Amino acid sequence: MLHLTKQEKIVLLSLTAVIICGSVINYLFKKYPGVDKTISSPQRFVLKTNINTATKDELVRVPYIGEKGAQAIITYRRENGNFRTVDDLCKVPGIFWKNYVKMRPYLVL
Amino acid sequence: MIKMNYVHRPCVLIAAFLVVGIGFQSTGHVRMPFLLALAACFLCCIFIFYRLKLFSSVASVCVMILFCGMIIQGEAQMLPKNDLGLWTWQEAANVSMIEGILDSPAIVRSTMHGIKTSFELSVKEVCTNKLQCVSPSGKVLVNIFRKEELNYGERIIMGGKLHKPFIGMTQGHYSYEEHLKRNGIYWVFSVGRKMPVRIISSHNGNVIHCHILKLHKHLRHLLEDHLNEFEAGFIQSLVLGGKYYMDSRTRDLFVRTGTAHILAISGMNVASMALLIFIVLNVFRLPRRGQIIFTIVGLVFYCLLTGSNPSVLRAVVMAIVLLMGVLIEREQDTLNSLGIAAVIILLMDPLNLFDVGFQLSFIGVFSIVYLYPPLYACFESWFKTPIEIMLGQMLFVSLAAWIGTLPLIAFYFQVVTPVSVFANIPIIPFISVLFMLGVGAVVFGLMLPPLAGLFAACIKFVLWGLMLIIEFFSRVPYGSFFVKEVSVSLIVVYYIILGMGILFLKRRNNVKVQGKMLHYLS
Repeated sequence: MLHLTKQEKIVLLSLTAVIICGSVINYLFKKYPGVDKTISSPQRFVLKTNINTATKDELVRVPYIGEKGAQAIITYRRENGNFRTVDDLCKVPGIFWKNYVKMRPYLVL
Repeated sequence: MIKMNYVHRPCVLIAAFLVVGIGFQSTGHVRMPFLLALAACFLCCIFIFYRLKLFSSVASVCVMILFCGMIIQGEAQMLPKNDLGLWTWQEAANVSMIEGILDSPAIVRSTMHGIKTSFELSVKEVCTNKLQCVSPSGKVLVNIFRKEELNYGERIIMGGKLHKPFIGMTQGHYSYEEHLKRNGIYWVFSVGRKMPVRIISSHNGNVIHCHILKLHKHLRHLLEDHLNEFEAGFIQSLVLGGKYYMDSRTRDLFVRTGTAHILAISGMNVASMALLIFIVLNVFRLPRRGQIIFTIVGLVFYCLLTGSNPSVLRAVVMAIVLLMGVLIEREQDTLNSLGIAAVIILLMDPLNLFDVGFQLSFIGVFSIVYLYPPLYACFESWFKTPIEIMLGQMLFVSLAAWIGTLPLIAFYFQVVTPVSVFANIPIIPFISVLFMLGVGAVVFGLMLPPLAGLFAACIKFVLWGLMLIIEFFSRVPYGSFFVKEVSVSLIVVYYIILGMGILFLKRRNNVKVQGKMLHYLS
């Protein structure tokens, strides 16, 4: 009566593992809402481009930069050296604050 | 002296000549009447001179298959006289209203310019600015720049503008316009935010397809109940197939780490599904033959549910051939089943040959089956413990797939991703777990919704872990780089050298091509 086949054991063990893990994760989400926000934030996971090392081709692919913006960044970098912070991008002629806010999540130093 | 084992693989031969025929016709554009007459003459010659043995039997069959490839390609390229594909710019510019039947589900997505509803429309009637109406054949891609609740099979009428697809969507040698053309779409119909859309009637499409799409939509909503847009979209593309439009930079994260293949259903997902069905049927104590038959039925249904795109179809056909082999107790050959899959997919639509997904799927599997065994055999002595062996096998499977698909990815997407060889090792177990959890969330969502919530919680956690790994690999210096231009001749030279390399390694190590792991991964 207490005999279980190998497959039955696999199915039951997997199911119980999911129930336990799911319950623990749900408990953490309820107890610490910050955990849910950290885990479920898709905006966190985007390809970030380093503005000090990126080539023109790479910069063109960043949303809201475009061909002219990329060229302006390259020229500014050549003339003034590397950027100290990402915010320094606003100093580049042709890069406006409105666009900078949109492109900020995709850039890194 | 090394003995060469001869393996009977008729489908590989058929697939190879079919591919050559399709490729030849697509570049040569031989006129159909001439081609048909030539094929008929050749067939007559085979019968007339059959007894004289002037035509070697294998060679004549190969030539006839080549002709078949050319003919089906020629048929696929031919457009009816009133087809939209033959329209000129001037004719299209006058179109102001269109009536037709939805040929695909309507997908609502957010873009940089707002919300957009897209679908394919089988055109029934077109009206111009001068209120002249004609009834052409063919399909158009419709973009409505707002959220619109439309379903497959609905007959609708709407106002808008007919134009060519934007060239801006082209990347490397991958052309969005060409991709649409292969699906029989030559024009895009754009409907502005304030333009009218009116439903005339419903249920005009295929009944089975309609029900499958309804089920697909219902299952998608089940996932959306417990997961956010990104998570639900990711699991949907992994379990249910279909297009999922994520942030272009999130997609870049997968492209730059060479892991974009996980955003589509592949052989591994189909194998996991077969395994799941098998285990469940085993629990119900069904006899072996019953289990195999039900698994085959389940896989066919799964293929229909996911939209039967070339890579799913390839994996399902291969799995069915494998299961049928067990059923009739015949030894299976992976390459032959790959050949069967290629023949079926190309006969269904020869234009699939030019589909990037089809090419990557077949080349990827071919390299895993052919390149991995001799490659691993060279370094087998390095791995001693079971964990080392497992990791070594995973590394070399990943390496084989990367080497095989490298020139195609460089050609189409202008990117080379060496980091993918290592990135795929930790990612594959994560994907298997996510797939199982996704299936669990969908199945329990139908029967026991509270349990689906627990599956969803696990999905959130595992997906987070997966994304962290992908993000880590995206930061590896020189993990990926862009290439300017890859020519077709360079690709041909690469594959010739690769083929010679494989033959050399195989002869040196004398390895066999079969294996359980290969079946699972392919």
